[in-house]
Amino acid sequence: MGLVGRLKSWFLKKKTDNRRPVEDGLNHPTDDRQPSFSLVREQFDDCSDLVHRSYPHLGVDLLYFGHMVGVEALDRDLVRPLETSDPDGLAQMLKRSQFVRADSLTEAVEGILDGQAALFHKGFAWLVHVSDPPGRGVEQSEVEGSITGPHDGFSEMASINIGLIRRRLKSARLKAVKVRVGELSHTDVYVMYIEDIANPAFVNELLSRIKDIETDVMQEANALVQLIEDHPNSIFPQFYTTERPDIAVLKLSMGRIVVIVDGSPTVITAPSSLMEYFNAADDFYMRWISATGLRILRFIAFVITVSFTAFYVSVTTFHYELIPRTLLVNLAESRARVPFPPLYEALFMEFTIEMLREAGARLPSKIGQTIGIVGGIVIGQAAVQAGFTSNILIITVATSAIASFVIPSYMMSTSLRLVRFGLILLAGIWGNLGLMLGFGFIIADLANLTVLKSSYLTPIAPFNGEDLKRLVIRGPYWALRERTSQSVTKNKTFNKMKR
Amino acid sequence: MNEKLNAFHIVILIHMTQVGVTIFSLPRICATHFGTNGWIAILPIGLVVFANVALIHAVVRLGGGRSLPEMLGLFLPKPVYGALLLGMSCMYALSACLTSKQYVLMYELQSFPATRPYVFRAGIDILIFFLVIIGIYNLSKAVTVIFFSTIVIPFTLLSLYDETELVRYTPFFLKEGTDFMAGCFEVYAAYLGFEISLFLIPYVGRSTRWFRGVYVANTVTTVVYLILSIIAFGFFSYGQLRDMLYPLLEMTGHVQLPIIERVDTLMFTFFFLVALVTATLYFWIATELFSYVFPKLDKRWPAAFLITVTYFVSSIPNELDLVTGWLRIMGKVAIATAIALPLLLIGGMLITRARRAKAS
Repeated sequence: MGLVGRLKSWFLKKKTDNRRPVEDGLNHPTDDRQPSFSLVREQFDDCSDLVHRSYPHLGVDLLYFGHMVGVEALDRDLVRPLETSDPDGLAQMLKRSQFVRADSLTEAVEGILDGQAALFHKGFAWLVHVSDPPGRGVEQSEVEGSITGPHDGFSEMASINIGLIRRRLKSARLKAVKVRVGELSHTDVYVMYIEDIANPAFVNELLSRIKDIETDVMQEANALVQLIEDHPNSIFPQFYTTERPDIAVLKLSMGRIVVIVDGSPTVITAPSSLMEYFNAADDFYMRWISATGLRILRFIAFVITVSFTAFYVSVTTFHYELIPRTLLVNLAESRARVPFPPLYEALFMEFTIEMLREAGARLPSKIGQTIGIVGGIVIGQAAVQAGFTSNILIITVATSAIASFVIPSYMMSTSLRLVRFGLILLAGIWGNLGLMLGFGFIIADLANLTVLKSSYLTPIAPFNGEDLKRLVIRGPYWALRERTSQSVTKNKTFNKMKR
Repeated sequence: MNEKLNAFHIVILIHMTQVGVTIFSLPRICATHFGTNGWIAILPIGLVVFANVALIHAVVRLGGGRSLPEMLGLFLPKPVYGALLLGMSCMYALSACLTSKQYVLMYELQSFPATRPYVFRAGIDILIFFLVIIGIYNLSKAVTVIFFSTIVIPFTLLSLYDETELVRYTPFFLKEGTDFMAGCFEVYAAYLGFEISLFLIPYVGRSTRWFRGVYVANTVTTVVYLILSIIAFGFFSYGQLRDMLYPLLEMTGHVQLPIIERVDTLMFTFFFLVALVTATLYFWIATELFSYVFPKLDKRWPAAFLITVTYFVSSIPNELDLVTGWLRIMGKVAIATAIALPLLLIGGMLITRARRAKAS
């Protein structure tokens, strides 16, 4: 593009989205050649983990990855029958439904990569499903714990994750569309939704975005999210993610779409809104009054974690007039020994807390505990006695940190911690007015966000009183009759399914 | 999913644009210009504003879903209405910038003499730029959030109802007023913001039912102005009201909370978001008008250009009094535009319609 062209594109309105439609993320050409043994073997040159078994009396060759197949299934379905079979028996065996003819070289190669065993006979290839790749079983989620309710969490195996959902939703309307992502990783991505409840426009939009992904390796759902979200430069997470099957099922029943990425214990749900990040799994199992109380607590925690330290900085730097006289004396005494302005004092403490948190998260749990104790002493009494910080700031920073742990979503909590630093800086420069300016920027960013083109701020804006009530107050189960408006479903009322 | 502005958003958008920092001085304006029990003048002026809104409603109905430049294009040559739109764009952009500057100077006066207004205004302008370029749908979402965040302010003032004394209202009505017409202009200017309805036409669909939202917004604003002024007239004596620069701000100073002192400072800080909405919406109108003339230009550029130019122009008045004086003039121009533009559009469209009927 020439200089004039660049200037034109810079100043003039952008044309509509001209992304080329791609059938599948794997857009390399298919090799239609007949999958003979030598051709397939050639594809896997230098793959020392590929197992080759030969049965000369039958003219059969077997190829498979030893660690991707189930030893028992392989032995039962292939090895033993082949060892004992004669040519007639082999012909009968190949007629069985579990032997699927591979018509192209690509199909045979992909089958082996998926963990299937490939059987070659007279220039033809058959694929046998004996795959059992290694992986973790069903365990409790460490990120999303719950006190009441189910304790099983998603694992890295997509098949297990789909099973965990299907076990809870025994309906033929639950659909699972498979898409492959990653030119090298060939990761299976499953888009699950309940037909007649989920909005087809959302499903199609999500599917087309996933199909459009062009990447080499896709290992994690949180990475996939960053390739399909509407606003990748926003600080806030836009697709709600969970490691709990019960939450995924709840979202599906609400008309949302669930995306499972093979290799990731995290599951994506869409569309989602800001308010959903303050709902926890326990809310749906506790008595409604207690659950509502906890939700309100989380909203208060949200305000505290974002603004409490910034407000301290603002007040102690510029707005002493806001402090009640009784507290003013204590605050002055506490600050008297600290040689730094409140902004530096607060930043020092916040950085220390963040470093402690990061160190604790990466270290093994036993060493992590030690870090906690050391940190507690350093940022506690020692920092005050050394004159680095004031007592009141420690209370403020600790309260902000605790409040950030109250937010159930780790992704949201991380974003809010970063927002807090921005607000502290603005409060240190312009006081309360800077704080307001910071809130203005946050509101501008949130208002601009959409998830699958639906508002992130719903039900506040666009306003929907019923939905807002439902997201703040859990409400008794008998009163929960309708799905939220963000799902844009034709089946709005629960238990009154119509086609 | 496609979004469009509904009546609820329009009520909030227009009400939040109407309410600006003038609200703090409204009781003083009423007391000074209309005299004793001057709050009562809000009612007839509110009715005149309703008539003005009805004029715009007539334009919307006659226009049949046409946008402002399309309507002007029916009876004016392009260079003429282009110049008219550019002139209006400059006027609205300057009003917006002066509004934000007035707030910053008031804040400096109120509680923060150490502010460097130029730097802070630059920060506000950057924020306004971001809000303008996200478009009116997203802007309406931001305004809704701000509305719910600041709704506590009028309710805090309502809590002072107990402090009002019947005797302070005096048995006289509209005595000792200084300049009735000046008062009318100032109170009318406090209602400005309803004219954005003229620019919302392309974002609301063909039905004109959305316009009910404009009437509702105007009613809400009238009620808010009336109630707060009535409380202020009963809270302060008539003499006090005339002497106070910002009576409502003084009133918030009397609100007492156990955990915080000087609630007025905090309230006024929160009011920043309200002032921000007014300034942003006017900048949005200015950008829209500019884009009507240069439709191929990406809206980011007119927004950046208008915000930058008006930033420097509005630096000329460097005292609060001067800024208020400039705003008074801009207010009169805006009132004239709010009345004359719909009349021009109605006249032009009726003549065009009559000519077409004659020709066919």
